[in-house]
Amino acid sequence: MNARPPLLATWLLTHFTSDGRSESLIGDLIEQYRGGRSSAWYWRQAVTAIGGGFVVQAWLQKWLVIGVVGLNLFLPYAYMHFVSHRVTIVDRAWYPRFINWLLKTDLDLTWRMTHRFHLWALTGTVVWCALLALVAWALVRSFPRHRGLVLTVFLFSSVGQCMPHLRVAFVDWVRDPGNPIWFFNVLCFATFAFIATPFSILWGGGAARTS
Amino acid sequence: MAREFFGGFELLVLLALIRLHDEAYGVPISEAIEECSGRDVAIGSVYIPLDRLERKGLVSSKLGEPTAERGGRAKTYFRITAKGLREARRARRTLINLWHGVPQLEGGAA
Repeated sequence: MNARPPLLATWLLTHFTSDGRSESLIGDLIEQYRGGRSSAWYWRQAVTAIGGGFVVQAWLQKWLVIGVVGLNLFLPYAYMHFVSHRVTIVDRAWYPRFINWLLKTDLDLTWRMTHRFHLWALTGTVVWCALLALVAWALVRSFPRHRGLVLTVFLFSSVGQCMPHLRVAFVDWVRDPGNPIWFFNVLCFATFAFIATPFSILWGGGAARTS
Repeated sequence: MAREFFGGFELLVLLALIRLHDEAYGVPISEAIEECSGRDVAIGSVYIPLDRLERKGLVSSKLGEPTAERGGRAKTYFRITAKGLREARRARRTLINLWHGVPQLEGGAA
């Protein structure tokens, strides 16, 4: 008997299927898995449930999908108008001091590496991720029956918005493949797009479920 | 209010849960359809029409007790309502009426 079903598939089902049925569906899949079904079968069921559920829900809740995408497009403007100047104040408080300290330590390699990791953008990234988490939390609280749908749409539209940055890094590479800066750009933006952004949104959505 | 027609898969799900009586939840419903149709049915796909049928008032659901063999998750049992039964009978009549007098569908071979 298989004891533990694939964790990631179960996690995805928990977060990306809508309304109160997800627990029963996961229970059904675990029951079958423990009855001798394979991990591949479990994954296939999970992907079908998430994909099929998303398409049907998105079609039924078109206006909600449009609203979430619209909110996502509006967020950068809201950030620029209401938040960014405060972020700059925080940035000025720590970044120059940190750079001065690094320069004083005379660790040339550390300095060069640190500089390339875009630390100057760190405050803004943290605040932006907090904003994403807050919006994901508010969306899940406002539409608990469509939790999976709003989170999926919000997540994919947020990741989609990061793509132009990755494109810039790619163009840098095409122009000057010998300059390692493109690699650091890709690393920073990929971390932002594929780790920080999804994590913030899922964390916010998860917090709304438990609160 | 205008009556709605069942979708093909919706009708299969409804008939499967009528056959299963009090034991109708995701797994046996999908197995019953698989058995009768000879096609693979994803368990997740039966919950979509079940939700729709419940919203129309044709099906009701009840949460069972969580069990260890299901990882502490409860089953959702589905039952047909009186309205659902009425609509199923109506759908049957409609299908039989349409079936009659179609020579291409007479006999066994497709």
